[in-house]
Parts: sequence; structure tokens; C-alpha cells
Amino acid sequence: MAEKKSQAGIRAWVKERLDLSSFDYEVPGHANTFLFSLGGVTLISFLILIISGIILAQYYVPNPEVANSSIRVLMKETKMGSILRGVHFWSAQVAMVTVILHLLRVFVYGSYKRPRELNWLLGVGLFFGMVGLYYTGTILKWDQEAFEALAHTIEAAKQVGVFGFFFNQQFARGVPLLTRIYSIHTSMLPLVMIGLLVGHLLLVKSLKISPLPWNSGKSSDTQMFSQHLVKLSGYGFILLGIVTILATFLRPELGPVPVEGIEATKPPWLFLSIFSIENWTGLQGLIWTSILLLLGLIAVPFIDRAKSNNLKERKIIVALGIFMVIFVLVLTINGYVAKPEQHLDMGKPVQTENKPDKLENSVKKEAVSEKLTDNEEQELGSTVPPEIQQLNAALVVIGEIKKAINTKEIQIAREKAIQLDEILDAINLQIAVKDKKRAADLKEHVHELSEILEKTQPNLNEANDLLVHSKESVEEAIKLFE
Amino acid sequence: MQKRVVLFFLVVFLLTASSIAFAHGGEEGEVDAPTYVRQALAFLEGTNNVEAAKERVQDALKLESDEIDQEKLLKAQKALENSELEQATFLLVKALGKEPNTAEELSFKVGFKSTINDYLLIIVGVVFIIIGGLIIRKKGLPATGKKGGIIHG
Repeated sequence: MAEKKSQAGIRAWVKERLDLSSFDYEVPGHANTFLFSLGGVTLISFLILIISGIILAQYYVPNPEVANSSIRVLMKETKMGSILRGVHFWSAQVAMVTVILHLLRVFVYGSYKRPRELNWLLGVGLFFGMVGLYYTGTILKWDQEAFEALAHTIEAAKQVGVFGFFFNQQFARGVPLLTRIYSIHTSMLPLVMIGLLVGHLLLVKSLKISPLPWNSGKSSDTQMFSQHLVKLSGYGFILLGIVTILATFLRPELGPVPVEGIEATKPPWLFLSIFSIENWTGLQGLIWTSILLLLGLIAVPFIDRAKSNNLKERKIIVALGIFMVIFVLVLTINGYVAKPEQHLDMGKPVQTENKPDKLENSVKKEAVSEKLTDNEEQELGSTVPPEIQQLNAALVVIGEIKKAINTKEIQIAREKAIQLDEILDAINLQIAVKDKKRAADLKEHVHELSEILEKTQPNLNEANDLLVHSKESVEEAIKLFE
Repeated sequence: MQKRVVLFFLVVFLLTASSIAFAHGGEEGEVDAPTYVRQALAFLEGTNNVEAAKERVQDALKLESDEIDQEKLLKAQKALENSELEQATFLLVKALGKEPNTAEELSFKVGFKSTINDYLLIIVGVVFIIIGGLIIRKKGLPATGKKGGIIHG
């Protein structure tokens, strides 16, 4: 009896402070059906994505040199790493399927009709936000598929002029595009999504759940929104269960590290329809289809001028929508069956400037080989493995530090030590995969060197000793990649 | 007016989709032998495109590069011709001087491990599904009325 009383007391305390009774407003009975819960299911998937994404971010290195390896390390060496990645992957698939079905439900049921036009636009924004997250997530794994997807986007961005500024190398010189896409994926897009989501949900509450497009729109009964939330939590549990099972049985694989000059993969299922169009029309098709899809979705509530959402009054637009869905499905199947075509000039000589891998590599080379001779640079760009290129560049910088120390140019030595630290940091993980101790030693030597040089009166003998050790360690590391 | 706008969008879309300007194939460029081998591997790993892989192996062989184990490359070519894709992949990686179990030129996958952890996760997944099903099918939630919401109690 006393326990019951205390439970009631806690409930009252929480209710008073959180005003949970505001969730107890009436909604039509059909709000509890699965079709009307699709938006909520997408939201639950989004929450799972945020949580799993935050954990994954602790293990991911957003640098083109080591991004793919860092995922391999996560999958191989981190406990439950591959399952966590699986949860993230499968939640993304579920989120995309449910957001598309939600959009189609809203379209067919005419839930965008007056006064809900603005909410439809917010929903379209959310849909494209989800597509953006899916696309950037695909890029982050930095395998062949990711590389080719980015190459297509860079080429497409060039064709849309200023609108493609983000993918231009000049936009943020010295910062790899992959790193910027990582920031888009983990900060900008989620923030935009949350903002849109808040607006979307507030409008759903204030404008109320839309009526059914038949029976004069009247639902046979009403329920409390809190009941809808409970039902939604049920769907959430089922979703979590399915995602856990899928992540355990079918863990997503990671493709090979990218190689330039070919188009050997197909995009994920979401982009197969556009891939089909691109196969027929080239990049222009990809750009125009995306623009038309956006404009078409924005235009829906303004094209459909029927007075109500009743299906009988909206036969043409619904038929048109169904035709489009079938069209997209056919294109998707065609994309699944078709072989990848060469859409870009990816088979051209390695030295071609416009290539996306060059864009990534140029950032690295810019940072590490400022002082290399033309011949050395040519060598770095041609046949030597990238790890050895990096380590060779580190050797060059070590030589420069030594020279600066000998001529007592401490400021230059400091700057070069920072540069050395950056170069070796970028490759440390790859060295660690082959020889953990070597990687740790190297890191320690270079950090100690930086610390000594940072002092007002650095001990130059000590710095020289560390340079010798660092040089030896780098030379040993080179052997690991030979 | 409404029909005209709809027709306009339909026509624009169909015109765009049907304006066939076939994608051009990339021209062959000066690529080194290891890159050709990596390309061959990417074709095999990506879409099992054996023909493209054969071409790349052929190109790599023509270069007679010291950076590649020619003998293994020849064996890989033979394996490709016999449609022994696994064997070909193995040999291509070896030709690059790498080990197939660690080579990043190959896809990486972790499968179901049949460990207690994995079975526990499956059980947890099933339990979640059952809990979800019970919540959805829960009776006693009043279907109508202004009172009786979950939070009102």
C-alpha cells in the first residue's frame, strides 16, 4: 500500500514538472495504424543512428589515408565493433525505407492538403536530409564504392557551377574532402535534421493528424496521443530487435581500399534508379533527375488543387505518383541488373588533375612534400606505395629539422617538427596495424622532439639524439611497407 | 491550369530521362602495373566483372614490371580464364606481395561467429521483438474517449 502511494507520488512529481499531460490530446483512431506510424518509426531509427554513430565516431579516422583501415581495425579488433557498425548500417536501411514509405503514404493520402503544405515542405527537407546522411555515410567508409560515388559527385558539382562549391578543392585548401564530408555527416546534417524535425512535429501537433482520404475523412474513433506513443514504443522495440538480429547475422562488409581509374562498383540500392538514368544519359541525367525530383516534391501541394484529400478528387495526381513509383522501381531493378558503365574520364592517365583521388592526394602531398625536388615528387606520385611516400616525406622533414637545428634556426625547427608530427600522425594507424611498438615509439620520439623544441632554450643535443632515433624508426617503418 | 502544370512536369521529366547521350567509356591511360592489378581486384571484388579483370591483368603483364610477381600474375590470368575467381583473387594479391588475409585490396567481412555473445544478441533481438509485439497488441488501452490516456492513468 505504501509502495503504491510512493509510486503515485513519483508519477505526480514527474507529471507536474514535465507537463506530460500535454501528450494526452485526442488523435483520430487511424493515427495508431502502422501506416500512420511510419514517421515515428523513422524517428526511432534516426535516434538509433545517432547513438550508434556517436560510438562509431570514437574509432573512425576521417583521413583518406587511413579511413578504410580504421574501419577494418574497428571490425577486427574492437569488441562488438562489427556488430555496432551493423546496427548503424541496418538502422540506416530501415530509416530510408520507412521515410520513403512515409512520404508515399502522405502523398497518396493527401496529408499535405491545406493547411499542411508547409509541413509537407519540412517533410521533403527531412527526406533529402536523410538521403544526404545516407550518401555521406556511404562516402565515409572510403572503399571503392565510396570513392566512385564521390568522384561522380565532384564531376556533377563541376557542372552546376557555384552550387557545387562545397566539392571544389579551393573551398577549403589543405583539408581533405573526406574530412569535410565527415563533419557534414556528423554535425551539420544531424543539426539541420533535428531543427526540421522539431518544426515537423510541432506542426503535426498544432495542425492535427490528417483525415483519411475516404469515408468523408472521419475516423470511427479517437485515441489519446499518449497511446500512440506507447504503440510507437512497441514498434521501436520490434525495430531494435530486427536491427540487432540483422547486425549479428548479416554484418555489412567493407570494400577494398579505393583504386583510381575505374568504375567497378554500383551504388547502394537507394541510388540504383539514378544510376540507371546515368548509364543512359551520363552525368547530366544524374543532375537533372535530382533537381526534378526535388522540384517535383516541392511542387506537389501547389499542383494538387483539389479541395479535399479525398482520393476521388485526386485521381490524376495519385495515378501520376503511382506511375513514378513504378518507374523508379523499374529503374532500380535495371540498375541492379546492369553492369557499371564508365561515366567519368576515370581511365585517363594518372597525372590528370581533375581526378578526385588526386584531389585527396594533393592535400596530403601539399602538406608533406613542399620541399621535394621535381624528380622526387614525380616518384612519389607514381609507383611508390602511399605509406612509403608519407614516410619518405617524413625523412625529408627530419633532414630539414636537423639542418635548422645546426644553423640554430629554432623557429623553423619548431614549425618543421609540427609538420613531422602531422605527417606521422596521419600514417600512425597504418604502422600500428603492422607493428604497434614501432608506431608507439615513433609517436613518442616525435612528441618528445616537439616538446624539447617548444622550450625557450631547447637542449639541442637531446633534440639531435631524438632526431636520430626518429630517423631510424621511420626507416624501420618503411621496411614494413616494402 | 492544374492539369497543364502536371503535364509540363511530366513532359520535362520524360524528355530529360529519354534524351539519350550515351555515357562515354574512359580512355586507357598510362597506369603502372600494381595499379592494373589493384584495378583487376576491384573489378572482381565489386561486381565480379571477370572480363574487365582479365583486361587489367593482361595490361599489367604487358608492362613486365619488377614491382609485380610475374609468375603469380600469369597463374592468376590462367585462373581467371578457368573462371576460378577465388584462386585468381588470391594470386593477384600475392602478385602484389601481400597476404590475402590482411590485404586492404580485398573486401573485409566479419560473419556470424557462433559465439555465446552472438547467440545472446540473437536472443536479445528476439526478446525485443516479443516485447514490441506485446506492447502493440496490448489490450486495455481505451480506444475512445477523452480520458484514459496512458499518462492520465
